[in-house]
Order: sequence, then structure tokens, then C-alpha cells
Amino acid sequence: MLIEARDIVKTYSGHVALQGLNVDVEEGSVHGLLGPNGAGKTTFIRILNQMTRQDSGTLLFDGREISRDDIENIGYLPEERGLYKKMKVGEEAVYLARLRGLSRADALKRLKYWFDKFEIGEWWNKKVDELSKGMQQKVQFIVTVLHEPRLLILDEPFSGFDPINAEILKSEILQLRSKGSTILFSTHNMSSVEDVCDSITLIDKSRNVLQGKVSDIKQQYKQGHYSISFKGEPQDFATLQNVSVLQSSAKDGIANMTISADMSANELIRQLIERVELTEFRELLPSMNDIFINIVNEHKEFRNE
Amino acid sequence: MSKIGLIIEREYNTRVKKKSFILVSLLTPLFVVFSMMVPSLIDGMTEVSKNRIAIVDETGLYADSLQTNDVVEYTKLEGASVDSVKNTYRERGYDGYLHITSSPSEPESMKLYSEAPLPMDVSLSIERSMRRIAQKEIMESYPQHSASVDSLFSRIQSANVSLKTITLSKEGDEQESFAVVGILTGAIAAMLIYMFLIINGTQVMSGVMEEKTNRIMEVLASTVKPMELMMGKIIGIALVALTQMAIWAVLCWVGFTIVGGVFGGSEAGQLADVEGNAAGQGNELLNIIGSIDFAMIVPMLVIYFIGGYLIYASLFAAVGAACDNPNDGQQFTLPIMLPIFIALYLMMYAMKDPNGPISVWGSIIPFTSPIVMMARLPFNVPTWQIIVSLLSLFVGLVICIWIAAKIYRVGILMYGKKVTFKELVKWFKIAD
Repeated sequence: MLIEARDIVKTYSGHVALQGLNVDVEEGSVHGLLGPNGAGKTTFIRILNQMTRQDSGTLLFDGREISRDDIENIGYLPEERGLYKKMKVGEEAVYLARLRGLSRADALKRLKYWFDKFEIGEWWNKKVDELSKGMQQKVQFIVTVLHEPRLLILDEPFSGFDPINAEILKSEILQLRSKGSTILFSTHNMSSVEDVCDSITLIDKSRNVLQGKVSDIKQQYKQGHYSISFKGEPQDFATLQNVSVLQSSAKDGIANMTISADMSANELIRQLIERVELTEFRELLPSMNDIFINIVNEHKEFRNE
Repeated sequence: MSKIGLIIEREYNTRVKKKSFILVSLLTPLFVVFSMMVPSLIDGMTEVSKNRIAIVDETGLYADSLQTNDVVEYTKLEGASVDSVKNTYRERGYDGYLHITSSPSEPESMKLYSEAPLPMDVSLSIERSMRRIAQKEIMESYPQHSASVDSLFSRIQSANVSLKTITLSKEGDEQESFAVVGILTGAIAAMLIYMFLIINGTQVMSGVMEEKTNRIMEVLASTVKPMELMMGKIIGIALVALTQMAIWAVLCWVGFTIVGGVFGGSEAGQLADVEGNAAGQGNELLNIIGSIDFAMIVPMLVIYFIGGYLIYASLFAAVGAACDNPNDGQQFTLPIMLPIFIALYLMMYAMKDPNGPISVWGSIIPFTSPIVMMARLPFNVPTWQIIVSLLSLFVGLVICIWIAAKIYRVGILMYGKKVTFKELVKWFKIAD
């Protein structure tokens, strides 16, 4: 584990930001820190970054208590992006890189690579406020990853990117992972996470409510939804036992259905092939978004009782 | 590796490269030199009415050395008693009288009395002539001295005369008015510090606020310790201010030298060479400059500037960190500015009464001492007071930085809250 957080508690003058948070992030994985606004994600990130300290609980980085020296192994892209507006792009990038511990020569070399890659090389001598918002985001991303940190913390990385650039960013993130970086993703936008994250921690109201591998969680929260394609008459579905048909269309030959908890997929298939010609059978796993909404709502109800 | 160096470097480089910095650095000395030339030029062109001064010379040795010039017309009153002159000088058509009791190099030897304040030119003219006499006396005493030529030379160079100017009231009461040069030096030095404190203090504040509002603070705070961040900015801006001071000093010096060179020889010119030697007629301005004890004033100016600046800049930094926008800052900047304004009033008081209790306390309390002490320095401040003042300045700045750092550390990460004083106290109490 690169990060092991145990029972992290943090209160700000009367307001509880984290109430016994546990987070495990495996080295070399992409981990999603999910939760609604105000759940405590940013507080946890700030503790990781040594910008503030937890009131109690332990936080291990690579098996040791995290310390100031680990900062150089961390790259952090805050949700609220910011650069000095009046500085020249290149100068500012070199400055921020040097703050992260790179030498000037190193910084220049690596920046050239990244600026070429993102095709913003010609903006090197322009002032930051002449850049479009998207380009500023790119610059910010570059300085975050430039020192090749072991841990990359990205807070809402896709906000402000157009779809094309978001795609570029996504593939860069995956490339960084394949080079061995660990990525901690913080977002409330679940759909952006699904295809990138290996594992997640879901935070709600200052504590974690769900964690684990994305695939495991989906299995755990599947609700027996299936999608089928068929040839035949859909009215035959009316006689299916322990199955509720959510929708069906004879014209397209597709249907969605849910089976009761004690029924197996095989049983559904058996019933189906008696009635129609089955051409496709697929299990529908819940989206992270659905799971997230479910759990957060459950919690609300739980608390209201 | 030290990141504070990087921060200082950035603060310094971005500010020094600004057009406004270059303009202010170059134009201010130009303005100063020009504005000080103007009165001299006007003086040179207009016929000045001469001041008539009666001389009562009890030694009988010096009155003849005072030659009437275009500023002063001297009349030697032989055998007159000081008291009778005091009562009658106005009726006899004199603007004032000079009472000489002993050799000009001795203290309290010359007093210039007048009811209305005399123009500065008069006392300067007298001082200059008397200085020449004092130098001559030193030179003449040389054969009896075993000193080397070098030491003689330096004694001549440093020959000092002090002319007391005394204002008489209608009733004949005497009140010493202070040496104009001292007042001017003190006031200019104090005003310089006052200006630099306010300008650079608010620079620090707006710098911190800028980092907070454009949200780069989050990136910075995740890489650098808050203390390094704060001190880096404070030191960087201080270096900018000192650079500017140095540029001003050099350019002013160059400017006066050039101007002195141009006007020094001409009859009309009132300016002469910087050394303030007896070279030129009517080199008032440069005489003033020449008579300032730069060797003492300049280091003190730098020390008090740095000390006072560290105090106020750290407080301003804390305010900048506490506020999201300049409007929120106003409620906090006022309490910080207040001691600076008070110091300004104390300074004006100190110029009237440099050694009174208010002046002494004002020059010891660290919030006011940088300004008040600068105004007092030309008036022979006891050494122990300077030491106490410097010590308390140091203690004060350590405490202020410590408090400011605690507020700053919390403030830079707080957004969207309207901060109150109560809140600041709470932040201060938050443990590390």
C-alpha cells in the first residue's frame, strides 16, 4: 500500500471535517476518492499534502508515517486552479517545477517535452492571462506531473476541459500509471471515474461509506439487471416467473429485466429460451453513479431515523 | 534545498522587472534633484533682500572675518553690551544679532538671536564662514601639534561649528530653535521610513491576497511551508525596496554632482561641489547635504527600515492571508496603519522636543521607533537609548512575525468566510 489512512479525524473550530476516515491506496493503481461536495475530500487531500494535520489517526505513506519530505513525491492538482497571471508561462512553469525540487536544467528539459506534447510550446513567452482557460489547465497539469511524483493527487481534474482535451488528459493519466505512478482522483463526478479507477473510496458526511475495487463493488451492488436481444413476441414475457420486465420492444428486439434475488441467471436464460429466440444476453452492472446515489440516499434515511 | 531562496528570487525578479519599478526608480531622483535646483535657480535670478545682522564679538577676533555677502550684511557693534543690543537691535534696523563668546570650534560659542525666524541661508552662511575660521585655527595650531599631516587633514575636514539659533519673543524670552539641518535630515529620514513602511507593507498584503484570490496559494502551500512562503515574500519585497533606495541614493548623488559641476563655478549658481568645501559662494543646498552625518544616518535608516518593515509587513501578510478580497482587508488594515500614523505625529513632536519623555518612549516602542528614532537621531540621542530601542525593535519583530505566521498558516487555506477579529484569535490559538 502506498497510502494507508486509519481513523483520520479532523475538526475545524467546531465543524467536523473528517470523522474516522480510512483510505487504502495500492501502489500503481488509480484510486478514486468520491463523495458529494463538502464530504471531506479536500480536507483529506490537504492532510496528505501536509498542508494541515489530522487531529488523530495515522497516515502512512509507503509504510512510514508521512512527513514533510514526502512532499516531493507528491504532485497535487487542486480543484481551484491558479497561476500567477502576470508571469510568463515558461518562467512560471520553471518556477513551480523548481519549488517541487527540480533543477532549472531538468525543469527546462522536461517542460519542453510536455509543452511539445500538449502543443503549447509557442506560448512559452506569453503571459499566463493571455492563455485560454483550457491552456492554463494544461500548464497546470504539466507542472503537477513534471517531477514524476510517486503519488499524483488530482482534484476534479476534468473540470474545465473540453471533451477532446479531457480524453487526452485521461490517456495521459493512464500512461503515468503504466509508468508506475499512483493516482488519487478526487471527484464528485462519478461517470468520469468509472473507466479510469481501479478502486475507490466513497466518502459521505466526513466518513467513508464504501471502499474497494470498482469491479468488486459493482458485483456487490448489482441488482439482477439483464439486457437481452431476441427474436419473437415480447408478450410471452408476461409469463416469466420471478422476473419483472422493465422494458421491451418487439421492433428492436431488445428488453431489460430484473430477476429476484434468489434466482440465478441460468434460470432466467432457461425461461427465456422457452419463449423467444435469444440472440444476446448481458448482465447490466450498476454505474458508479447509481451506487453512489443509492448509498448516499440510504445514509440520509439512516440518519433521519 | 531551500525553497525560500526560490520564493525570494521570484518576488524580486518579477517586481524589479516591472515598468513601474524602473520608472519610479529613475524618475524620483530626477524629480528630487530638479525640485531642489529650482529654488536655487530662482534665488540666483532674483535680487534677494539682504538680512542685516549685528555682531557682538566678545573675543574681538572673529567679527572681521564675517564678510558681507549677497545673503547677509554684517555690522560689527564695537563695545556694545549684549543686553543693550537685545533691546535695541530692532530699532536700529537689524534683523537679528550674532553673539560670539569664544572660538567657533567650542560649543555654545555662537548664538544667533532674532525675533522672526531668519532664512536658512543666513545661519548656513554664518556657519560656513565660522567653519572656515575654525579650520584656519586648526591649521595655525599645527606647528605646536605633533600630529601627522593626515591627522591634521582629517581634523580640518571634520571641523565642526555649531551655531545656535535662538528666537526671542516680544517680551524678550529666549527659546532655542533647532538646527534646521538636523530637523530636515531627521524629517526626511523619518518620512522615507514612513513611506517605505506603508508602500511595501501594503505590497506584501496585496501580494498575499493576490496569491489567495487567484488560487495559486493551494499549489504553493502544498509544496512550501507557510513560514517560508510568508518570509520569502516579505524578504523579497524588502530587497526590492532596498534596491530602490540604493538606486535613488546613487542617482541623487550623481545628479547633485552633475548639477554642482554645472553651477558651481558660475556667480549666479547657488550650488557647488558635493564636498561642501569652501569652494563656492552660496552653495547652500550642497552645504546642507554635506553637513549631514551620512555615516551614522544611512546605516540607522537601513536598520530601522528593516526592523519596522518586518514588523508591519508580517502583520500585513497576516491580513492578506485572512482576507479573500481587498474590501475585507480594510477593517484590519486600519488598526495596522494606526500606529504608523501615531508614529508620524510623535515624529513631529520629537522634532520640537527631541529628548522629551514622549519622544524617548516613542523611539523605544517598536511600533513607532523606526519613525520617531529617525527624527531624533540628528540630535545626539544617548547611546543607551539607541541600544534599548534596537533591542525592543528586535523583540517586537520576532513577536510580530510569530503571531503573523500563525494566522497566515490558517488564513491561506480559508475561503469564503468573512473573517472577524475573534476568528483571527481562534486561528492564532490553533496548535501546529
